[in-house]
Amino acid sequence: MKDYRIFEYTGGPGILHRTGPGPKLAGMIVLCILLAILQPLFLPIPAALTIILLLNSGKQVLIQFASMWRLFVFFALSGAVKGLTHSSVFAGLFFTLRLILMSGVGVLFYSSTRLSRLRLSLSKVTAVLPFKSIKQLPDLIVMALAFLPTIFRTVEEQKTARYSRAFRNRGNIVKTIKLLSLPLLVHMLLKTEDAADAWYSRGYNPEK
Amino acid sequence: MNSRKDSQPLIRISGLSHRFPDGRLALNSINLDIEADSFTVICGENGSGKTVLMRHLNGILEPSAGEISVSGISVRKDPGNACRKIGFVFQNSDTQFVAQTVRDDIAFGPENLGLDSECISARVSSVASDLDIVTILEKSPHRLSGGEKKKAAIAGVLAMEPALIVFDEPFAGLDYRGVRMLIEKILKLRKAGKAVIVISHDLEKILAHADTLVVMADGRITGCGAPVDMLETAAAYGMRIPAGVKVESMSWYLDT
Repeated sequence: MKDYRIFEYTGGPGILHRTGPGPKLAGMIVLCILLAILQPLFLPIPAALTIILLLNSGKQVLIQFASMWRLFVFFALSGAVKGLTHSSVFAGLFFTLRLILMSGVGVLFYSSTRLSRLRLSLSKVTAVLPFKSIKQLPDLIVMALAFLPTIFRTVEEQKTARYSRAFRNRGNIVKTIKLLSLPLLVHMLLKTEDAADAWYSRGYNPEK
Repeated sequence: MNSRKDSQPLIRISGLSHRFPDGRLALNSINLDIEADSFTVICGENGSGKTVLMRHLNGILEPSAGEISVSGISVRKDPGNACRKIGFVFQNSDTQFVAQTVRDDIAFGPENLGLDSECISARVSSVASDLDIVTILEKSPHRLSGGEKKKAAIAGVLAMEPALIVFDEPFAGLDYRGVRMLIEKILKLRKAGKAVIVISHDLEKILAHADTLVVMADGRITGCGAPVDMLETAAAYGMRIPAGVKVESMSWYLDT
């Protein structure tokens, strides 16, 4: 399970792996909107489509999706709160389901899209727009997306480092959050600088 | 510090100083020429300014004073020229990777150079085959072994076809076979006419192949010349020089 992490590209045989990033992005946005706004009666349609796409995308994508279980627990808790405040079990259940399926759409898009191709597709769109500042948008989006796995890797490395130094979470949530967030923030700032150096030294010039 | 020839060197560093925002002087009036097709090893203790110096070569860092020119063109005025001509292999390969697969990562540099897709594809295939990484092209670069990561990082730089390649502490974290493999690749680059700079304090692994040794301490160049003439200086500034080993034997690649 640990071999595949969230937000990493995985090769695969699925239809999404063969679809261009532009149409895929548009399709995924529509699917997300449908999952968010459709009435419970019609929800099975986008839900079934999401599940079919997940199953079609191969084992590695499914494992990535399953590895988000902690997030799903959080969604379930949020759903429980919603259910209690609305005095309806179904309201909470559908809320949880929508969030889980929308995460699935995110995994589907990320794990089946080569960022280099996404950058190229978005650049074609922004190239025809008259605003100069918007031309850097594809690079910024791709940089941000490329950075997501780094964040997850860092969190995992830091967890391992804390564990190896005998830290055990014994219910002190404030201490746990403090130990996770502060080093993560510092580490991320340093990594951002490294990433900028790497892009620059490989010929990337935002002015071009 | 080193003797300057009349002809235009590949890189000319004149009076280069770099001061960090906290006021610390990282580089202090550095003068150095790097010739095309030369092999230079830069050594010095941690914090002596080796990496900071090299990061000025392609404009990653801006100098507080002084000037660097690449093929006669100022890095300050045309950083793009420096990026095209100087490839930088980072100490930590993970830092260098910007894409999700090795193939995309190698293609990143040529894409930034504005090459067409056929040319990019040809370059990717060519460097992948040169470095024996064809089988890992579709893998995530972060999931490779130390030696494979190093090869993928070098491939990303070579695809830009630079005239000079800087290796920052290339042997860190590599096992014996990995070190030998890397030296072999470096020597191959040298044979292909590329200038090479290796930043390292592991002199016994590589020095036999170098034609210039630069010794740095406290942000200054304290010695620069033929390795055989610089050994005492290097030892005086904290480098480990194996007793009784001649310069021409200082290479793990020459081991039998």
